[in-house]
Amino acid sequence: MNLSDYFSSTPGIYMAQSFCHALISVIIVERAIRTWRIEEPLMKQRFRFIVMVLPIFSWPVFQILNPDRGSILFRFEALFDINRWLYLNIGGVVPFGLIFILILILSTMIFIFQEMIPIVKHTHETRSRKLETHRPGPDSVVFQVLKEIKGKKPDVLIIDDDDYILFSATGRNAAVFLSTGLLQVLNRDQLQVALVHEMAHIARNKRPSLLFIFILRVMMFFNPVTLIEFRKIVQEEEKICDDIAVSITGKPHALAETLKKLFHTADAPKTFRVEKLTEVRANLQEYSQTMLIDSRIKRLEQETAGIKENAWFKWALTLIVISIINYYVV
Amino acid sequence: MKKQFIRYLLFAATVAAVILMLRIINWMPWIIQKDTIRPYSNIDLVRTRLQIHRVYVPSYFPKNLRWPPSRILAQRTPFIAVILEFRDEQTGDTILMTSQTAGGRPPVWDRKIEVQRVEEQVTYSLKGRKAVLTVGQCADGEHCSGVSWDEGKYRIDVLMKSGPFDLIGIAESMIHGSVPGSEAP
Repeated sequence: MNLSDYFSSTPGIYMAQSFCHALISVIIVERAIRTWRIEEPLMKQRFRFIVMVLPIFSWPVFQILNPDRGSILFRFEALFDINRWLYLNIGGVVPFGLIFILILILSTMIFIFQEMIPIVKHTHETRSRKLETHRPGPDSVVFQVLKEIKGKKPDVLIIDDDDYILFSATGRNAAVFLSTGLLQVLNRDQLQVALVHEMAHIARNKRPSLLFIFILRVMMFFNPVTLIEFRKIVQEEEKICDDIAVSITGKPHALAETLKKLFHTADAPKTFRVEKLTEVRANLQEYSQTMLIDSRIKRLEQETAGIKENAWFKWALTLIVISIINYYVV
Repeated sequence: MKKQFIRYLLFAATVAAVILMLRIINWMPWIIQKDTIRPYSNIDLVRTRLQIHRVYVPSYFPKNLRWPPSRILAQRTPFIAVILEFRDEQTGDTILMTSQTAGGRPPVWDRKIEVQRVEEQVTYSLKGRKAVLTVGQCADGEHCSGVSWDEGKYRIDVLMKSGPFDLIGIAESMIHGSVPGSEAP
């Protein structure tokens, strides 16, 4: 099968159109977030879900609505016909379609090596490794702090370690883990807000919508736009849990201080610098992590966390506009 | 309120910019690469601009068919394809379509005529070529028939809103000469 045959086959048409639809969606969604100054992470996430969900269903839905959508006549009158680019030979030698395929392959490789394999590895390690933990006693500060939090609480387990460790495990045996090292440096308020933040993660991970979005991400393994947007959604999740923690405890500054203690170590990079090419990925990851933590701290200190926004009309308008434009992108 | 209105206007401007950008990006390869599918006003232009010297055109036309073709579409990239559409003299409906594609590829045409209910499909000798003749009905219940065969390096498909007799006459008129490869030295 040559390239032109592939791009006129159903998987080829689907991949090409879902890529275009995702690209147009991300441009409009990001502009909409900026134009309408959408600050609430939950609302931002809802806007970004458009980029994740729409390109998966757009092509089959459009084809059902109009089976002639793929016809030559429709393509002539469309806003954008990707086949014109895919059949283009750059300099008469390199087909643009080949470059497009390489981008999809690269995106698939990133998905496999940076997302799927680490998840499988992590799941395997979590199952096989037994962490040395103990439950906090009735006179411990953790116990006291937990008593002040209303509602159902997951297990909180202490790890004997001097390093600063705080994470939650979701699933059937959901629990919050924290180290003795971290316990020593956090005051009562900071500990409480940190625990509530982790509990928010556990509560949100029970929601089927997040699992649904992850399944959609897996389905769009080849799509580089989805790759970037999914990471933004994951980052937004941290801010949503910050908001939940602030709304329950009312202590944004305590959470900001906790974040500073947890992440602002002396070796955390403040600028993105590359000395060796092999360090690019690690440096980039560390840098983006620092950026995310800084923006979380900033909004907590400015006390903008937890402010609710009702932007459903704007969301619906954005969705309709993207759907109409994408209908004419074949 | 005024701020909100300005933001809606800004969003509208973004949408307009995206549409304009798409139009420009869509237009660029059309200009760069001249041999992708596009309409032509006459068959000689297809021959000269795309360097497709052999274009299969019917020479027999029943009375109700209008000459010249109502639509001519052709491409050289990604493969050679020529599509001709002919209309009914009275109704103006497309009633005949011919397709010529290289490398045994199926036609790339829009299915304005489609044999939806096949009544009979037979192998037929079309001036010595092994052709597949399909007779049946279109979606609207009218008679529809189609024939396809290999002609040298091309595959030819002809579809018509009529019974098989006119169709075979038209198809035979597209062939001039003996079976490719069987000529006497």
